[in-house]
Amino acid sequence: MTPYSERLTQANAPDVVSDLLKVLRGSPATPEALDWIKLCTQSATCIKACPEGINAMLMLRVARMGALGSLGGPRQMEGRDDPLFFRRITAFAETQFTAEELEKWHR
Amino acid sequence: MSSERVVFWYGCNVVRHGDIIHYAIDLLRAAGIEPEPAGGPGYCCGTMKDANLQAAEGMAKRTVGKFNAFETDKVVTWCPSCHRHMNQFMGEYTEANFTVSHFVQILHRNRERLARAFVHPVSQRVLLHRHVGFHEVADLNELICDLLRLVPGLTLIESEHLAPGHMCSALVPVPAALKDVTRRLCDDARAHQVDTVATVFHSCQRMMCGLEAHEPFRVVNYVALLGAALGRVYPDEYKSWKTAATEEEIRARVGPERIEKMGEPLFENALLPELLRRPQK
Repeated sequence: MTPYSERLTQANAPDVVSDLLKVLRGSPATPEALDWIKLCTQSATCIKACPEGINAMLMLRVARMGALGSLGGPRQMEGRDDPLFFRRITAFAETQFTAEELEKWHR
Repeated sequence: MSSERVVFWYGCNVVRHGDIIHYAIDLLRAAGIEPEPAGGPGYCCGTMKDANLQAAEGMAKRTVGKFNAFETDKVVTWCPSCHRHMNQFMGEYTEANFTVSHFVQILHRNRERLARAFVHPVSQRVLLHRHVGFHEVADLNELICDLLRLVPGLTLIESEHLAPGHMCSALVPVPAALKDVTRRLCDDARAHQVDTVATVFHSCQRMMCGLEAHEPFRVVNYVALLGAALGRVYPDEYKSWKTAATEEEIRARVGPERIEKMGEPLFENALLPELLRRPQK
C-alpha cells in the first residue's frame, strides 16, 4: 500500500518505523508515520513477513489510536466518527428483518 | 441427531443484507449447526471506536458479557473486523468464556454434510473477489473455493489477483486503492467472461454490487450461491436499491412506508447518500 503515498515511496523505511514507535510512546506522528498509519488496510501480510515475529498490523492499529488522540497525545487525523452510524444500522435492519427476528437477534 | 448450538455473531454492517444473514443461517443448519443469531448495535464490537477507547471498552465488556450469558460456549463470527477485534482487544477488557471461530471455518469443517445437501445445480461461471487479508485467522479464500466447488453446475474461476486489505471497506481511506481494486475486478470478470462475481464479505458486496447496473456480470455474495445449491432464494434488496437509476427509483424500491417508519430526515441524511454512491474505477 505504501506506493499510494509519494512521501513514503521516498522515505527510508527504518526511519518511518522509528517514527511510528514514537507514536506508540505518545509522541506526535511525523508526516511519514502518519501516512503509514493511514495507508494500513489490515492485509496482515506483515505478520508472516516479519522475521522478529512482530504483529506490525496490530502495531499500526495501536499507532492509529495514538494518532486519533486516544493514547493521550494530540489528535492528528480524522477517524470514522459517524454520529448516525447506529441509527443507520437500526434503520437498515428494520428493512431486512421481521419484528420477531429483531426482538430475538438484536436484544 | 441433536445439532451443535452456537451463537452466530454477524455484526453490525451486514444488516444491510438480510439475504446474507438468512442464507448463512440456512447454511449453518444444513451443516448440522443450530445458530442463535446475534447482531446489530446491541452486539457492537466497538472496532470503529479507536478514537474513543472508553466507549470501545464499554461496548466490548457489554458484548462479551452477553456472549458469556449464552448457554453455548461457542461463538461463530461473520464479520472479519469483529473477529479481529474480539481476538485482539475485547478479550483483554473482560474474560471471554467462549471460543471464537469464523463462519467459513465451520462450513468447511462440515463440508461433506453440506455437499450432500447441495442438490440444486447453479449453472454459473463465477469469479471469486478475494482480498489478501484475514489470513492470520484462516485462508478463507481457499476454504470458500473448496465450498463453491461442491456446488453442482458451478464453474469457479480463480484470478491470481488478491485485493489489499481484508475487505473493501478497509480501502475507503485510500480512494485510489479502492478504484484500482474495482477496475481490476471488472477487468478480470470481463477477461474471464464470467456471469457472476462472488464477494466474500459484506462490505465488498455493499461496495461492489452497484457495478451490476453497468457491467455485464452479477455481483452476489458467495453464500447466495451456496444457498441456491440448497434451493433457497432470498432477494438482495440492498442491491436493487444500489442499482436504481435515480433517487426517485430508490425511494420507490425502498418504499414510502419504510421511509416513513424510519423518518424522512434519517433516510435523506443517512441512507440515501450511501444508496446513491456508485463504485468508482
